[in-house]
Amino acid sequence: MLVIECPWCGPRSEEEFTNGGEAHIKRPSKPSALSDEEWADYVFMRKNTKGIFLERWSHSSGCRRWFNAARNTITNEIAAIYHINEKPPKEIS
Amino acid sequence: MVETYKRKTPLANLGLEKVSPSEQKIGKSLLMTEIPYIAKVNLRGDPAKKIFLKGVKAALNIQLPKIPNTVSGKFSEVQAIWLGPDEWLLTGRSGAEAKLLKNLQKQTENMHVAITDITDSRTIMQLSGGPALSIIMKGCTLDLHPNVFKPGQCAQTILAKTNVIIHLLKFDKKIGPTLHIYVQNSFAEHLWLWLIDAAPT
Repeated sequence: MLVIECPWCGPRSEEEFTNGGEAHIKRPSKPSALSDEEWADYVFMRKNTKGIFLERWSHSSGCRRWFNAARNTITNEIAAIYHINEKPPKEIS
Repeated sequence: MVETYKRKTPLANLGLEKVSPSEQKIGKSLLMTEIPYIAKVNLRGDPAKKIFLKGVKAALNIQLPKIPNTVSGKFSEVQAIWLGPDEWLLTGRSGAEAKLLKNLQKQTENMHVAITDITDSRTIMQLSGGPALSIIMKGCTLDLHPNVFKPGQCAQTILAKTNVIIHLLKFDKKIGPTLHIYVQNSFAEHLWLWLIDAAPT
């Protein structure tokens, strides 16, 4: 079980959280101008990173806020945690 | 709002009202009581806006806690529990929800807020006595060590697979901790029976 540090509540057990998949995916500004392929790319295609992966988490059984985490997909180490509207810390990106 | 004469606590079928408080003692030193019908109001608003904080202060006569997982005010009067950076649970005396709502609506008029009466969504269980925290530790991953979890602090977490809000009111050296568990009505009976089962005999 991971211990994830919620930016509001501090360290809590993994069972209180929900994983929200890859972070920093922008909704296209003109969805109607997209081809089917581009739209499918936006909706379905995700990176399958080995190593540091930027992902969203929600503290669903706690304060119910979303935040971002940089997790190493090999070791499960969490390298950084930052607010939902922030960019990943420089040392990671 | 529920008609008060139709009101029934979610633990009504356990027949707790027939048991005197002294008989509700479980084991040697744990006292477990339900505190039903406490007024509860969910408040959302932007704490960065001073006019919002001022309005809430005028309506409740207490400051909203800004530090995560802390509580301000008094349980016997009005209390504000931190639920999120822009969300609080306000509690008041039984039957005070209409007045709370009215005051808040008046003082936050034309502001971007959400005020919701959730009085009948949850019930409160009060646990006091030495083993109270160690019982909770059996079904909760939260660090409840007295050095970490101090009086005046609250936490939203999972206890016995149930979403709860735990509020530590005080930690008396002789009696031990006194805490409140806010649990959703439909989970109340499960949690009550689980707590009795987990308590040392």
